[in-house]
Amino acid sequence: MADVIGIVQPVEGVTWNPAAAGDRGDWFDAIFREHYPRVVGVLARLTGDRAQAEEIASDVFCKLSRRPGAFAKPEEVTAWLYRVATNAGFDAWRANSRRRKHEEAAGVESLRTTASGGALDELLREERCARVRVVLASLKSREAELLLLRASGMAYRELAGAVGVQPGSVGTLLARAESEFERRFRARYGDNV
Amino acid sequence: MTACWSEGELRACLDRELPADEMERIGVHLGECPACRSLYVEMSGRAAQVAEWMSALPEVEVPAWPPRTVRELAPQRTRAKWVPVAVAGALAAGLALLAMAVANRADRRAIVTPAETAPVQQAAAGIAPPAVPLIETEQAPAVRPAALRSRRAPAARRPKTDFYLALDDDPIETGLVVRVALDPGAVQADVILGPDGRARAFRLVSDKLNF
Repeated sequence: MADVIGIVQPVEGVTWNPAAAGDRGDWFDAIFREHYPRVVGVLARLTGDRAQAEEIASDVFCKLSRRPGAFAKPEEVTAWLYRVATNAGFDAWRANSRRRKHEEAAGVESLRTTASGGALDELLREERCARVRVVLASLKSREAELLLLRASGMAYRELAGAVGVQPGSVGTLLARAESEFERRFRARYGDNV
Repeated sequence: MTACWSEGELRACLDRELPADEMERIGVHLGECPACRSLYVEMSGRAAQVAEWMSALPEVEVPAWPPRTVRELAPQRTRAKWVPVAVAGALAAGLALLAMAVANRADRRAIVTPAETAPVQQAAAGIAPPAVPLIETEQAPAVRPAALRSRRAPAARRPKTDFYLALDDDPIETGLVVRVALDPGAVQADVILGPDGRARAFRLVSDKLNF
């Protein structure tokens, strides 16, 4: 997991020392308490695995704790956190694709033998999830992040902080992300979805 | 007719993320501008469709406060970068000592025999060598004296390294000892894992060696 985080970690050239600002170690505690549940929730929706989501979130926060002087402003911490977490979630999801294909194949074989209605529903649900994740993964990182966070219930002001833009730009970015998502979804899976 | 609104403002209006007065003015404008009304309806349908697709992703209940404490992730709890290097160095040093000890034993077996040492010692003392060796040739294969063998035999049965090398300054109350075979049948190591799964200490165990 450390390699995954290392790959997606953006380069931060500015410096901001929370200790010098009087926050000392509390800055990390405050960010952890405020954002950990939501980060895990977003990652769980993205990966479909809560345990893996917690693992990724822990790695991201651990990475954050090691770089207290890498941010010029507190707002940059939030933007960095969600950007790294989302990218790490997509990387983990892609890394698991081979295992997931084997499991889906096994699920289809099991369905043929058992012909269970519950299994069929589960299979269809997984297929819908997989389609959404495939299209999300094909979007630009910020567009996918925006859609995921919005679907998790974030308000525009929170979205602006998480994505690192002005609150007035969220509507425009969200409209473009939705338009691109719909276009790619229909291009890949057709209009009858 | 009032001025048209931007796409972003119309989208924010859909989510009711604008101030009340702006929402009211947008409503008035939509009533008199077919183009903006068409765009608004189109965005509304797209937003509902995307929201439906996104709802396929399962929501997971996450506790308001995570079960693990923040202290586990705090900066002072992170493992130092030199620890993996130190572990690798310690293991390499242990293996090097092991190899040197084995080589030293082989040298003693090749050089030190009673048949060779007796004449040299007697010549140094000015005594003519006897016609027969002081030690029977049957005893020559005994590389080490019997007393030395008996003294070293118990040491071979107990671990050569009976102390642990700590990898972390943080004390732990409970841990799991895992024996790892570095080279099956030759060198083993005991590793103590902490509650978080990290290796906290280790020792080399070589109870199958005799040197």
